[in-house]
Amino acid sequence: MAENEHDTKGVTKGLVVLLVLVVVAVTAVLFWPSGEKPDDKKPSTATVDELPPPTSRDLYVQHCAACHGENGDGRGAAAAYLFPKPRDLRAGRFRLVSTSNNVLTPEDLEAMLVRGMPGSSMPSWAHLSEEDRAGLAKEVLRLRAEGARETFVRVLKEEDELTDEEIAEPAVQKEIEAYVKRFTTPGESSEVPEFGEPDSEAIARGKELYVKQSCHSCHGKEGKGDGVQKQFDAEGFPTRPRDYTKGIFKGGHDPASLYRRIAYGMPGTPMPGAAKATPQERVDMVHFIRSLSDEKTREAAVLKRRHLVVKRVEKIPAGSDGWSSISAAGIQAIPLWWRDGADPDLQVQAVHDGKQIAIRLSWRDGSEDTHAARTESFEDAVAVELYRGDAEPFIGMGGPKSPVDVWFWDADRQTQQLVENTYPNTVVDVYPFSEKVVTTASFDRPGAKTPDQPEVSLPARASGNPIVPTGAESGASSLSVGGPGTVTFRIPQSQLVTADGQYIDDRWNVVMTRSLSVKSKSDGVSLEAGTRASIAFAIWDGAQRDRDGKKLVTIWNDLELEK
Amino acid sequence: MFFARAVQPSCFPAQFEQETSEMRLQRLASLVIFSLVAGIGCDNDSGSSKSPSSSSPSPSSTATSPAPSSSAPSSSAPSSSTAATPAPQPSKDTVAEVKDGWGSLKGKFIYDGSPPEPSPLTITKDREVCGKLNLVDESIVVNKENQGLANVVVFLYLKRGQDPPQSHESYAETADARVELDNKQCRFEPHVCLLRTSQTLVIKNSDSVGHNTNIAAKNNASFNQTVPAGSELEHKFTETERRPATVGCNIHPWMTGWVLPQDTPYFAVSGKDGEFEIKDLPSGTWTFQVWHEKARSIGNIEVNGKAAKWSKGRVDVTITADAITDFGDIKFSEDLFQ
Repeated sequence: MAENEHDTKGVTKGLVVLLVLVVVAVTAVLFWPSGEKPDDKKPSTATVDELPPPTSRDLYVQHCAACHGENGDGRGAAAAYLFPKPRDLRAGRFRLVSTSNNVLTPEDLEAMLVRGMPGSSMPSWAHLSEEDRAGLAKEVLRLRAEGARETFVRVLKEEDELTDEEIAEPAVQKEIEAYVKRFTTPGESSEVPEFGEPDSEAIARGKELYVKQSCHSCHGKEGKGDGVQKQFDAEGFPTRPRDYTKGIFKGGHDPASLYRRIAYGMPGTPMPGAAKATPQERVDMVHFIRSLSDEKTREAAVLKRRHLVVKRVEKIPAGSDGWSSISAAGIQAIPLWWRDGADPDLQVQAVHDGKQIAIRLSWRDGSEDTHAARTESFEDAVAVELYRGDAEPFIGMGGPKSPVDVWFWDADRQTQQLVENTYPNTVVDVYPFSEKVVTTASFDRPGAKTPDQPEVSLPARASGNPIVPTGAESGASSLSVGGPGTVTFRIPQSQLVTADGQYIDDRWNVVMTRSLSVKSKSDGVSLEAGTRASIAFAIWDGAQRDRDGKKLVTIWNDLELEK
Repeated sequence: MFFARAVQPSCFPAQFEQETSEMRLQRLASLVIFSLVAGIGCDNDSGSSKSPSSSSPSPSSTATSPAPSSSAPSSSAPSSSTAATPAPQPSKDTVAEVKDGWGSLKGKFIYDGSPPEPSPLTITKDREVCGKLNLVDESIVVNKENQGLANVVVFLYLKRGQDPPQSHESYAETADARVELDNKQCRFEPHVCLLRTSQTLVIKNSDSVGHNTNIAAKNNASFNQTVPAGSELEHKFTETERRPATVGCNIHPWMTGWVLPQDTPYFAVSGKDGEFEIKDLPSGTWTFQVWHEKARSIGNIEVNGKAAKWSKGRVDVTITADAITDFGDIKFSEDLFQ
């Protein structure tokens, strides 16, 4: 019965569509002035400035959807590469709360967007305007409300076996509304007391309370996060108590933020609140916890935007010499799949001579991994992400409407570790009817293609696969990317970046060079002396099995080219 | 659907009637009409009624007890579906006049099969305190003497939008009582804690080690607080829960308990002999939710030796005034706990 009805519906729908089309066509014929096709109308003169400002929904889709998913369920395309996992915004188990009922306030969200979440891949969104961040907070809370409704309706259907009709009834609707309201209306927020300067007595009291409140059970006697072996969050993912000596605090390291974590706990994690502790006791505990790290360490965990000046020079330094006089900017890079102590101390220098730009990247890497041919081997690599424009696109490699220019250097390509050197003969296909007969056993041949063999016997190279080394490259590649999962190597004519990488004293030093300006958009982003651009970086550590989206990233930084 | 026959206290065992063919037809008809109206396929006929109290015939016709007849179900549920619902709806004003009186419900849960030996828990933390207590898994507690199954929760199931019934005056005194949930000897005492939303949960820690109490409620805000050794803290639930919520301690992950806040006082948990009693229920036909932590979906069971089928652990029982309605022996086969 249901199927028949469906069919009927389909036919009816088809008829309606047909009718509308006919009416439109007739109207068009009747009312279009003769000789003028719609295409002949004046091209739109609207510029970017005149377009309506993006809605909070647009902003969300642009900046958040890649990780948190378009509907906020935490299952965006990039989520697989991230740990800790992006929050399921619909489920509402927000960790960084400041109210008695664990419901987020817009202020909680906005503060978090400025700060990001140290210890996770959630970056700072300080580069967005305050208005945009407020819009994003609004959209997140809207998704949460939608999620609450969805959860409740699912219970009604599955547990109470209500039908859609029964759910539509006023009494049930009222109950749904009450539920949604309950889980989206922030509860009371207790006043955070004034913090004095920590003295040794307060710290000693805090240390005592730290044990009394059982903090040590998970965070360890010395606060190193080694109190328990295994813990899981509400989503079932492994989680660990914070190591206080590392100074990484997801919800901010300022005393007031830490006070709230102690007062309210972190919903969705094993971290409980200390409701019974008095305000003074919480203050003392904050002083003790902060005494386990110093301000410099704590600040180092918070992503900050840097200003990188591209110095105008007479002549770009040749090779690795001549860079010592150029000032370097330290830029924080964080792993998308978190590991403590991963900070590679990235130092960036840049110069231009009016024609060429050279960017020197220097970072710490405990091992030189130049070999990626074996399945179990991964290479070191670095990438520069460039964008020119006012509103910076999504930090994760832009988006479909705002692609970014990526300069990529990888150690394997530079050192020309051909696959056939690793696995002799494995990559060379034999085409018995088009090749000269190989008289000796195949294992007698050298690994690489012999002159007797046609190019087609190296299929990847023959088909122009840009990842395949061809023997005369610097290790640099130029890529165009319009969002995660869209990395595209430019065509050979547009490969204008060259690079030189040196591994010295546990550090990689890579200089990437390109002409300042490029002819067309398909060559990348054109740079110009006296202007600015936005720049971000990514680093892969082969020893950590980094590849693809498993990498370290930075936020957007300013690139200012001297006149 | 079952109707418990009312009996006088300590009198005859109750008998449970199978659904009569007439009733089944009626229900079937309503379902068919329902699907027609809704335009959906009928894919859910697991034996549950969409509106149990409204389609129930008056219990007085079948009651054999000398107790005064309870002529109308005291449910105040609004019409929940369509015109296809056969039975007339009780009007709102029948709620106030529970003049028919009050009755109790009792019964006994029996574990059918050889109960699993309680397995020792792995003590991973505070071994010097918790490691000496020979703690065992409490998810299935069976009395070996009589096969009685403990920790089965029975509580009044209210349909969505249905107002809770009036509480008997005997409950007034304890309306704002403090109900204790103790962290004692590295376990929760009681294992299943029931309370009214008007009451206060007192979370105690009688141990010499610190605990935290993490309650994963669904309708109430999440709750997770530290309970330092020897201290206690109070908590009030604002909302009723439809299922017991898990209680855990993240410091001692083996600790498991359950807490069920309810708007009504009509709930009970079976004791060590598997027996339970809910006193002073308003007379009439009510749906009860039966829950056990390991038997998440109680379907096929046995009541007083007869096979029976519940849906999602729900069963309709008619409470007769001034009598104890005896549910009888409710047997859960060991398959239910797999």
